[in-house]
Amino acid sequence: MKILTEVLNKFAFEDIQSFAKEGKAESVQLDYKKDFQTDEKMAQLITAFANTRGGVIVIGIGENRSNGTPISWDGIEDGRHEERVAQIMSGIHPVPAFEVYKTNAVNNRVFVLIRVFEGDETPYYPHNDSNLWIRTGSIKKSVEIASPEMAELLYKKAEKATLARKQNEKLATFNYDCYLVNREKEKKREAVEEASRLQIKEKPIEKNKTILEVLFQPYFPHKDFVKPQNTEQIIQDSYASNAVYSFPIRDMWESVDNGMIFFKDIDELICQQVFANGLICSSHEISRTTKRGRETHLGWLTGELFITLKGAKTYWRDLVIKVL
Amino acid sequence: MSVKGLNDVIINPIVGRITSSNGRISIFPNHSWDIKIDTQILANEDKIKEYVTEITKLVHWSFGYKDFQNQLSKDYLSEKGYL
Repeated sequence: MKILTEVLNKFAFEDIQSFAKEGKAESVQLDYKKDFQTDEKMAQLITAFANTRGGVIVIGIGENRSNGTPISWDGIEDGRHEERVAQIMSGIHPVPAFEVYKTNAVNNRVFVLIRVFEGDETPYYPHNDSNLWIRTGSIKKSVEIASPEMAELLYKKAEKATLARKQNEKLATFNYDCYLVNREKEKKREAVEEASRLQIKEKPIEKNKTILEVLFQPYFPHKDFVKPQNTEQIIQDSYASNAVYSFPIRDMWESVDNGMIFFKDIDELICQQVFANGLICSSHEISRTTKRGRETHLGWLTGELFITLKGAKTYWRDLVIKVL
Repeated sequence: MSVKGLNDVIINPIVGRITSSNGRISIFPNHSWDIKIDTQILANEDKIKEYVTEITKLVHWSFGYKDFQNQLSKDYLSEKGYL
């Protein structure tokens, strides 16, 4: 069961029981609790998730303390658990983005799922607690106090993420520009031959073209989720299309640093890039020449944005599943 | 999201349930929009459609078209197979 990648409100009591029986161990992004702990302990756990990579806490599953796998899955007594979570959150500063969901009750027992998102206002800390907590992924000690170096990193996390996103954007632009220059050279060679035959002048590729670029990437860029070689299959499986666009396109992709690229300049200019760290970029010509001149329709822009997002969503989901 | 190469390009907006063919020539050569989307929206296709419609409204505004009607335009975009 894809508890880390799906919306929480689709899971029923029986789904969580089945999930527990799969025996998946706790990890950096997954924690089991047989029942609610004290507000202080819960606040430490939640801030640790928000300070690290986010994740899901399942309350109602007891874990084996030596290997982190579930050993009991009886749920907890039904009650006003959402209010309890809200109360815990009020003891945290700043309050991280979170979702809380209580399954249907079976024999008055429920599971409570809390998803905490990786925060962009780090560090998060419990009130009346001078420590900063982080998630380690270790079974024995899953939550620990951040070292001074780690604390410094948390204070600079948003700044570092902004820099990393800018670097990613530069990478995608650099690739696109290189392919464009290469195509210009090819065209020039073709055009020189054609021009000498027909006595016409060649045009640079981007001239008289309107290019829509859509670039998405994780808010907190991490290292590669998978090896770049493994992105090819995920790209093929993520195909989405509508009346105006397809993403990722089903064609011959080429390998580049940390990902893959598709570039074509026949009939229309199109460049799509997909990377192992979740960065995706689509550049496509969206203007047509008519008797009124060069025109574009904002509906095309919407269609391309939607389909790029739809393809990206599947790509990201499959990327994350591969590492879970 | 960004658009470049808009010099002398006619930008046709969505007006109600049609694409207008009386668009104006773009004043700016380039445009860019900072888009943030979270996993709660991504997990639900209807929410993605709502979100993309909101972005479309923002784009219309940027190009000087301020009368974008969300529901009518969303219906139109769905009928055309864009959403």
